[in-house]
Amino acid sequence: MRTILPTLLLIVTTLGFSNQADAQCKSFTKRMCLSELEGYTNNGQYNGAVLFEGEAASLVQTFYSGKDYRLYVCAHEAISDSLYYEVRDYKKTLIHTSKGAESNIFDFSVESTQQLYLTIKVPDMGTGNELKKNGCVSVLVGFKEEN
Amino acid sequence: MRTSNLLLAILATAILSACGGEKAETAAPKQAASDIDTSMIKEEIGEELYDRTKSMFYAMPTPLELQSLIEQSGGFFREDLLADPQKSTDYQTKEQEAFALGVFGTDMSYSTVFDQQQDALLYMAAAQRVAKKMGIRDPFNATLMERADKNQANKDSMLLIVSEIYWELNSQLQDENRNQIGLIVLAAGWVEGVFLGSKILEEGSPNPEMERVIADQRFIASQLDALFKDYANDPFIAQTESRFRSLVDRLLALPVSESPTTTRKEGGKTVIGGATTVDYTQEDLADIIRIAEETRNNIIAL
Repeated sequence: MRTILPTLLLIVTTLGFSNQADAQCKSFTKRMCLSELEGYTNNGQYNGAVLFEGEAASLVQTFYSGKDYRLYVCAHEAISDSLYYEVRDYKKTLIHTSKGAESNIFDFSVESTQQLYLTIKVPDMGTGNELKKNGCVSVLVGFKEEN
Repeated sequence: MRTSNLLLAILATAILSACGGEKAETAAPKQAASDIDTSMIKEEIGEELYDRTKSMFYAMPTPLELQSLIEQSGGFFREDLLADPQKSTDYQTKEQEAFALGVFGTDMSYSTVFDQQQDALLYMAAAQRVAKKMGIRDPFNATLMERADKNQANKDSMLLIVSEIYWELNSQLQDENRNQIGLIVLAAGWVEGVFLGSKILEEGSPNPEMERVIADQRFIASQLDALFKDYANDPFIAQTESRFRSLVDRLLALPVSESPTTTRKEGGKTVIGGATTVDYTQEDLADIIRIAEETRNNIIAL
């Protein structure tokens, strides 16, 4: 019981934090990110999470031929400078990276329908555990008829 | 960890301190190189980082994109194919409600894309009734419904509103850790979308572009398959997955050809060429059309 109780408390606290953080992420995405899809139809998916230094998130998504896509990885300013993402095909071939790029927007189309793998990374900046930077990260995808 | 189980993934990561009857239908599909492969991600980001990966999304598409492709490929509107919105209050079990919400949502998207906004509003209201019973209120809030009512003459505004409805639906279910419900809603919506597309394909003159759209659903089937496997221990998924299995497996049985990926810049965007192509025969399509109809009729039956 001595060990179970703190564990339960940790779980409850963590659950509360997760839910609250996710609600904040939704609000952050609405306020700060969705406008970047202007001119595209938002695909309606919500992919948002709080990421800390040293963490990563991945997304696998099908993209159809005949559509133009905009992929936008929107991150809170606390981690946006260090965060980067990579888009790869099913054979790990690197198609796009935001590392060194001016923006987190990737406009593209596919000649044949395929699944692409997106990996978002927040590099460890060496800060102590209690000070690790963190922030909301949302992946937004918009589509429109191919030009 | 997959798209619609984001919260579960976060929770797991946090706690761990660091995410038909015929032969062709029942045969276990072979894993193609194009199928989802988490080992690839593990290799790419490194084992240690993978273990700390916050979440792995397997994004299940909303029906708007598929319906838009069907329209773009020369599809047309057939009101007679749509589910009966008057039955929205008849669905009683959690399973029936999730199926109905998915189906009505797709019918709403289909009507919107084909600029049949009166029908779109009918299905929006039907989806709202079902969603309310399921405790899902965010996507059908008064502001959004009022905007839909005021903008029904404007297709672009209606498309925006429908995409917002899906965004709110997905985010609410994720926030409330009800991702398995979200998965089944989107799976049912996908079945309805494949059903509508395949019936239009069956009725219209030969249309290779639309054939391709239907065959490409193999990719979505592989995402669904991965999600179902991920949730194999969830009682709700275990109870409902079998309804989708014959369609998923039949699509997964389609072979996929692979060629090297190419990229080039064109008018400010990157064009990704090569990669994967789903191969199919007319017999395959006939089979998929039949199974899609059976599956759809099965999920809307009371």
